[in-house]
Amino acid sequence: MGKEKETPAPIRQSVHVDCSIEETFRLFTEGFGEWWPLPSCAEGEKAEHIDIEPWRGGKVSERTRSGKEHEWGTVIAWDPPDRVEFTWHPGRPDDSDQTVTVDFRVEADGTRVTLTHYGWQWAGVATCASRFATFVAEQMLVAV
Amino acid sequence: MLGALSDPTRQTVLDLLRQRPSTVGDLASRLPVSRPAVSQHLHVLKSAGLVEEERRGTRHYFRLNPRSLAELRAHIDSMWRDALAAFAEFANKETGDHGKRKGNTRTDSTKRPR
Repeated sequence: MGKEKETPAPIRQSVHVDCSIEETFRLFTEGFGEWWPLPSCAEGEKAEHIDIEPWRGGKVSERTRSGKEHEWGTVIAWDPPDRVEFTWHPGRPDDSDQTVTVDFRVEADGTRVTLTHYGWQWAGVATCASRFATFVAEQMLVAV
Repeated sequence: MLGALSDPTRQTVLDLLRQRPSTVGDLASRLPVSRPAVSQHLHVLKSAGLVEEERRGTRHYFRLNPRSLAELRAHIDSMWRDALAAFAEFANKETGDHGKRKGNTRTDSTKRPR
């Protein structure tokens, strides 16, 4: 990717799950809308449905309860069961400044899922991290 | 207040300042709004602690407050930590429901590359 050279460093998180690597990859991608815990970035409510189209160039998108579709990103690598990678721009126009790479690796008793978010500094206040928006709002309230 | 946050010009001002420190004039030349409007946006962003002002000679430069970047990092970091914890819970439950192995979830923050 060549993005490692950029500052600041990417954000990386990982988790262990008690499933085979194939099952983990399938649940992560097909089940995205079921496990995604955050409110819709578009309307502040839980997304009704989130879909990752399972091919390179496929769309990552959400559909809200009111039926609106919002694009979150585009799949740039689809390598089951090892890796899925997509651009990430919820709440913003399409750009490739931010990418999310999810690596799946077999480990004892299951699979390790490692997520790396490159270019997160471009997320700004429009990020789906609703808590950041709340944080900024609090800062503004304090400042006023 | 939340309406102020969703102001697209203000988001663009933050985006431009992420690229480099700029004067009001620099920003106005890259935005479809007047200098007074840019000044007003900067005033709000500065009051919120997101932007700092620095005087160089007779010119006033605005830049992103580095602390706000650290805060952003912390918040996105916790967003992904929560998201992955939710995924692990979901995956382990799905597997358990199908009569396979079931176990505890655990998350850990890996060391950040530098």
